[in-house]
Amino acid sequence: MTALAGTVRTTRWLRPAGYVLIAAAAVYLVVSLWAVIRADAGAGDDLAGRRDELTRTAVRQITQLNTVDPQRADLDLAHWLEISTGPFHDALKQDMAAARATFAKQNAPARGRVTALAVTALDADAGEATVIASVRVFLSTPGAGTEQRKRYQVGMERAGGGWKVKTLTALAPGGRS
Amino acid sequence: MSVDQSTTPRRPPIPRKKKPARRSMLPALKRIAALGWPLAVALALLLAGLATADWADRRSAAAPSSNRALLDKGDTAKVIADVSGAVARVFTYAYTDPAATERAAATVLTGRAASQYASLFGQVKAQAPVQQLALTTKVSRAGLSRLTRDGRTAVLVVFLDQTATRKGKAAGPPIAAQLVVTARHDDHGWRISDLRAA
Repeated sequence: MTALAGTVRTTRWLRPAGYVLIAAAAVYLVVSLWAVIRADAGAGDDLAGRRDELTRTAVRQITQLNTVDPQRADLDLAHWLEISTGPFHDALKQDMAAARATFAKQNAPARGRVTALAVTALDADAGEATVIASVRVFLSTPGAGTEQRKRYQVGMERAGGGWKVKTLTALAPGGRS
Repeated sequence: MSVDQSTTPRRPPIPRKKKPARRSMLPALKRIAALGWPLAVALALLLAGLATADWADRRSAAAPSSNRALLDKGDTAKVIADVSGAVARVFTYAYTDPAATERAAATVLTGRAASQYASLFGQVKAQAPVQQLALTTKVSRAGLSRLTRDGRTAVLVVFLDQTATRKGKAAGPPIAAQLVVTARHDDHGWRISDLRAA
């Protein structure tokens, strides 16, 4: 009898405890769901998305601008014109003949790789941005390959729905550019 | 015989012991059953909550906005200025005052960066007194690639111009160097925790 009474008393005490546990777990679930919604709302930060899009495009285009296969230099040059705009585009167009001649002479393919890149300025509304990039170019000369290190400041402009290279400045040490 | 008689009555206690055990087991089971469904529901909710919290973490880490570079303008400018200054200080060396560079390195470098710095800069330090070497490092460009949401970890791209002088005379043209620098913010401000040639 005493044991039974004890059991009833314990159950009476435990049942509300169970409800409290349910409530606590439910609150935790709601808080977690709220965190998911907030993480999603953060993704709506327009500038962050545009910065990342710009970064991806800049890495791709700077890589392409440092990559040439003499076997198909015409294709590469045509592609350079596609991903450029403004002054850089005009300069490329002007130097087209000279560049073609240079590439015809060299028979070593050059392969660029962006090793570091940072966006230093971004005006999303005006569609203008500046990035700095460090590039390693591998020249596969017959026998042995060589590696060149380059660094650029690149002006990017939004044109035709995507970012394009507007200026490409190799940064020489000592302020000579 | 007497031994037999004494052993037989001893056996019954075993089933007798079982009976009270069964009697107390039943309420105990009932008790657990009574608590069972609220406990099961609470456990299910808890597991769902944990899974959701993990989902939220992964989602927020993958969101572009988790990188605060350029978004927090003031923080971005501050970390670029502080880390640029730190890099210029530790890579500037005068054979007449090596202690200044060592002091800068001790205050500004932390963790792995200390040994990376030693391997990057060890040669200069070893040759400097003999060749009366001085090295001046200037930051020509610096940009922030990554700044964590808590504002405590940053990854920067730093372009350096280095000029060496031997016995007070310029030893060749300036040299370009590119670094990827990871910095951590602590009570002492921004400190460099990782150095890598880009």
